[in-house]
Amino acid sequence: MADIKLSGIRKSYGSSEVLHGIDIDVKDGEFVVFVGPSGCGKSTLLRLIAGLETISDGELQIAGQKVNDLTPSQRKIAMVFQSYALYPHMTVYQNMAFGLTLGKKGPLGGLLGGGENKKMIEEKVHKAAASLKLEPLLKRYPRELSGGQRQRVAIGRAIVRDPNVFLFDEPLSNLDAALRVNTRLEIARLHQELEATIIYVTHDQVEAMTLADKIVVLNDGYVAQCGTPLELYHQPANKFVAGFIGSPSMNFLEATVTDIGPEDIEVVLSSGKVKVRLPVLPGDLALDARVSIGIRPEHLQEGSGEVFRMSSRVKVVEQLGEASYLYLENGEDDPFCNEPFCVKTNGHSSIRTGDSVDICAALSAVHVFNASGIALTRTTTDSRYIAPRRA
Amino acid sequence: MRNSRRLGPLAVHALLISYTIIALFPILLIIFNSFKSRKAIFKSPLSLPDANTFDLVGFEKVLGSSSFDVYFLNSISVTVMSLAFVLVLGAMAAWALAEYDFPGSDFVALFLAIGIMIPIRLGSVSLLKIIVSLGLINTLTALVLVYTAQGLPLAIFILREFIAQIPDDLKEAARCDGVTEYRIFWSIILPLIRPALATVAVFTMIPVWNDLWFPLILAPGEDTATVTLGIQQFIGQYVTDWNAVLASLTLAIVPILILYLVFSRQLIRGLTSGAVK
Ligand SMILES: Nc1ncnc2c1ncn2[C@@H]1O[C@H](COP(=O)(O)OP(=O)(O)OP(=O)(O)O)[C@@H](O)[C@H]1O
Ligand SMILES: [Mg+2]
Repeated sequence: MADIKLSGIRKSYGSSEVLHGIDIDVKDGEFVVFVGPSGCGKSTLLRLIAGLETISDGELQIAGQKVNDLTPSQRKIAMVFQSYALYPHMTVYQNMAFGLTLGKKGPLGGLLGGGENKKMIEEKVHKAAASLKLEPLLKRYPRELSGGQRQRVAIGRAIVRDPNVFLFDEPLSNLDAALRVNTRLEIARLHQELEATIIYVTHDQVEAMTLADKIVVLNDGYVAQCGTPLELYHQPANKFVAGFIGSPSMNFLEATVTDIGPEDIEVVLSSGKVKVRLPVLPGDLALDARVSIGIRPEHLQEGSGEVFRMSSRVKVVEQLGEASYLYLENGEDDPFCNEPFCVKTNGHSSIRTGDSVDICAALSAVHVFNASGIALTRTTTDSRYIAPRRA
Repeated sequence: MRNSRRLGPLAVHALLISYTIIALFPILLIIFNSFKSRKAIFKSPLSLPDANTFDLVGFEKVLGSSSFDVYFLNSISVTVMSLAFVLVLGAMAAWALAEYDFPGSDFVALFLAIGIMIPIRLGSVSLLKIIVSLGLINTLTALVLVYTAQGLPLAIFILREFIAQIPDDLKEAARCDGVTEYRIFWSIILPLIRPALATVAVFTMIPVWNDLWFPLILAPGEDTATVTLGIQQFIGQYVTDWNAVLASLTLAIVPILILYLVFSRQLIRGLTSGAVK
């Protein structure tokens, strides 16, 4: 059992606070991914959990025990570093066995070796090496390995220790694209095999979406949202998460509330030309309040449907084969106020730069955020636009 | 363009070669002349020994007569002991100063920096008093203690810089693995700073081996004299036995040369490659 519970975790460096009270629950065997933009405190949070930094305030529990003041090894965690951190003067075998020679403390604080017996260590290392296909490399030095192989050694070194929790800090960011996909699958397989609790830091949302049981989105030292990948995708709690999850990211339009019903609101876009009723609970929204409307590129289509029957000129077309992204321009007649408005169409679309297109989206695909960026609850039951219930 | 580019390395090499010749010339002179007869030394000091002038009388005198083996042993044990202390203590202190933030660490670092700037010989009188009151006068221990103190500041300064360059991830990975701080030091830090240790070793041992000052004031006795002191017995007020002096100087080069060759093999290696990234 290795549940992890963070309550009110804070971290300050000198007078500047970088984590402002983090609460997260991680269940035993869960794969949790921390994502967020650079500098939001992901690595710091991971290092706090590892015990490499002291916690300024709050409580960290692992397996029901408060571990704030325990050393990393007492917490029974294993960390895989972005830089791999292999010992350059040791072979792959020695790298993997190094932490094991101290299972029990020998004399002089383990200086003279002792501890776990040699055979057991050999067995463990070979087992881990086999599962990572490292066996032919055991006698090599880290400088004689490729990036992907080094990464596997680093993971192997964590596995042999049989920890309660695995911590990964951007383990794939030094690998090239193809290798990244392979290693990602490898990590997913390992998680199933080991049934271990894993906390994984990344800024790559594809990694986050594909690997995670649960994603924690961090923004500027706060938890922006915490949930399953599909929950974050379909029911973002705020504008930050809505914009962060999904690629290309969600389109936002500014609008003003013109009518408030019991289970829907009517808004007019800032151009003044488009007026629609949206199926969201108004909460404490007032008339004339400014709201943001969010629509994902993949929920927009060519044609004229329920909402936003608008035409606009296409500024850029990006053809990816299976799909094309149209970036629309601010025309006279269109309401798109800020960034380029992105629409995902099918790959054989014949639309070219400069063409005029009509686009539309289903009402239930639309997100609404109030002036402080908090999402209004959507009432839709359309299964295409909401996350499946958790089992 | 092309000419000036060519001239660059040529000029540099010319400079270096002439410097090497100037630096090596006296040493070669000592070695040549130690194999010549006394007459030949004075008649043509610059010529190589030939069949007529070749003479091993100096070596015979040095190795046969006096207690030169004792001097050699003294020099070697003082140098090796001081070297060991400077390297082990220096590396440990450097690791402590580089890795841990403890109260007074800045003061200790400053104190050591002062040790680099002020030559230890300025304190000779007080050192002599301390050694006398410790009852260590005329012992090799006195020399080892003084040389360790002399070598430590620079050793710590250099090693601290190197230790600071070892990526933090390596130490942290070891800590996550439950490795004790002692073992991190012995199994990770020391192997990685081996080139720096070799540099420090060379810098430390040469002045110790060549020193005449402290053996003269702290351990001038017949049993504790070092090679440099021992040679002095051939240099008299009226007569100097040049054959013996040159022969003993030539012999004195050998051990230090061997030590240097041992360490210089370490100097070249870049050991950190493959550590991270
Ligand atoms: N030792 C430190 N001293 C002071 N500030 C620090 C220290 N370490 C990190 N910070 C600050 O804490 C904040 C969070 O840093 P952190 O390394 O956790 O970011 P991150 O989310 O991992 O970013 P990235 O994706 O770029 O790795 C940053 O603003 C950083 O400047
Ligand atoms: Mg980071």
